[in-house]
Amino acid sequence: MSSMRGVPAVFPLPRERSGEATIMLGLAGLALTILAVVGPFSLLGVRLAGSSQPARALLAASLFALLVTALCMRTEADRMGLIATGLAGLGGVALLVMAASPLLTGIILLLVLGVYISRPTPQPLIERLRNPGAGAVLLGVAGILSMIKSDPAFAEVASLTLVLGVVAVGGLVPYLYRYQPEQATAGSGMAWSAFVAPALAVAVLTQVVPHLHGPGKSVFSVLCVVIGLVNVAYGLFGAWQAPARAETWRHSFLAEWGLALCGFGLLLPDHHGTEAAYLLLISLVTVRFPLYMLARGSVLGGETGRWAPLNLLSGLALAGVAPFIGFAARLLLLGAAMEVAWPLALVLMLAMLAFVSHSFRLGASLAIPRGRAAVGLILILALAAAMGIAPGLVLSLGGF
Amino acid sequence: MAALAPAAFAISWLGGAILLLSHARRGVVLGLVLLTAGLALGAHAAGRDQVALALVAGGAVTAALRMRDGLPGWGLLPAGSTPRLVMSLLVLILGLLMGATVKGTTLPVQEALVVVALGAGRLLSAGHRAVALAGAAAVALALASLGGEVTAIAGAAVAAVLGTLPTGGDVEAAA
Repeated sequence: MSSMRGVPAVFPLPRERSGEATIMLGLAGLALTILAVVGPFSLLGVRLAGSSQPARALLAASLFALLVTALCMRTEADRMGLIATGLAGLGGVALLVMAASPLLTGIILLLVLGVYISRPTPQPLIERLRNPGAGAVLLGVAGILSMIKSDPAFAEVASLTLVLGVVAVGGLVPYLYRYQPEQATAGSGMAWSAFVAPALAVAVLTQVVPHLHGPGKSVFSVLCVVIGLVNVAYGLFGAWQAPARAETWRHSFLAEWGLALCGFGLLLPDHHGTEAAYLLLISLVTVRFPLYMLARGSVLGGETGRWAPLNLLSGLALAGVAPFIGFAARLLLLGAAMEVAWPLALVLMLAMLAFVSHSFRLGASLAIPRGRAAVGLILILALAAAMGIAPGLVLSLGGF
Repeated sequence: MAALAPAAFAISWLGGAILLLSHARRGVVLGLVLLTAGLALGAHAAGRDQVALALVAGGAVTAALRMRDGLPGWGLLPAGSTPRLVMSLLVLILGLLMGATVKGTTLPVQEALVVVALGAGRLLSAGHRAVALAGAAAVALALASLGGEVTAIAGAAVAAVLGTLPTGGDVEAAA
């Protein structure tokens, strides 16, 4: 694997120039992404691309994050190869977003998993397939059980398996993957947690939630909030105890995911909980993930943290301070939690405040970005600020 | 038609159990063939012939392609198979109980759930890519058996594509 200052490349491809097959796959992935983002269409009488609007917006955000990451991160790798590999992966996410039911989502997830495990890596096979495999099976089972109308208990179990399926794909508690910072991101659980699962979660949960009724809806809501709180707590204490900054980054993803899950669980008539979850995941994909990728080189290279203005701004963006997008998302979440139960809002607010110090550590871990990394960082922060200043626009893009 | 349903369930379970209990080429292929036959029979019994046709096509392609790789031989009941044997029997019992519980649908839910459970067991305990991909194909076929025509074609196509994916011929240690 190529390296810079002893830092392993982020993607496993780039030892040589990207091959034609990779570029073709990347182009196919780009075409699928564009089809999914553009929206539903019919071909020979069959309705394709049945994607929900928030999922389409999240897919477009993932494309932005991929391009910024691949073009701006510090690496000597073949950038065309990185983009092609990323676009091929994004094509898989687009297929997931286009699936109109949990049954179809499970099937397509199995395809994505098959392609994922067919690439040889040093990581044991079972470790790589455990989470996405369990997720695909659980989503499929949710689809099957939701077809049985004879007993409401099946609807409850379907809600349970649906949430657990999304949590498994995201590699969240209780389906944590073994995090190895030096491992190539494309072949690790981080790719699923930060790249695949956000769009999948929004696609599946926003499509299914309107059809939930009675006990199934209650199970969904309670499970999302409970698993969300567990992830927030695990992320918070994990970041506190983390021996290395890379681990702190990983735990920050868990905490952010936890907040998003709480948002999904707050099923309110005004949809503020779902809107907060959507904004949190947009923030995770367009801000946290690219910043993690930019920081990865300095973190793995053992560079000391810096407190330059860009680092401070990054810390503010990661902490969800105004005017960045995380602030609007957190505000909406707290408002939704207040509508349901004020103790929940209090717990969430304390967790958000407790993560501020970790966020500044993460911002400092970017060291001093130079050249294209600095350009990428400025782009990310500018987008985060723009989205934070006009969250209504982001919400309207997501169909809220 | 109703008389076919128990046979479909039995063949689906047998195919899934053989897939779960085998780690070599011939056993995996036999399992895939049988479970495909069971699922297709269940779809046919439910009056969904186009879905049955798609399942047969997808299952045949993936089973044929799985003959190319993996460990040689049958590989049935290798050492350490006891948990999987117990699981296959438990799935049979739970499947039979489900048959008594599930009402109000003509879809072959019982067969699909049994194959999903056994295929998932194979997928999540595989020590070799070829076996894992066979487990994934089994789950895809089972999910496809319950959807509409688009889902059935998509599931069959995914099963076929999973058969074409390279396995590298490596044997990795199962955790």
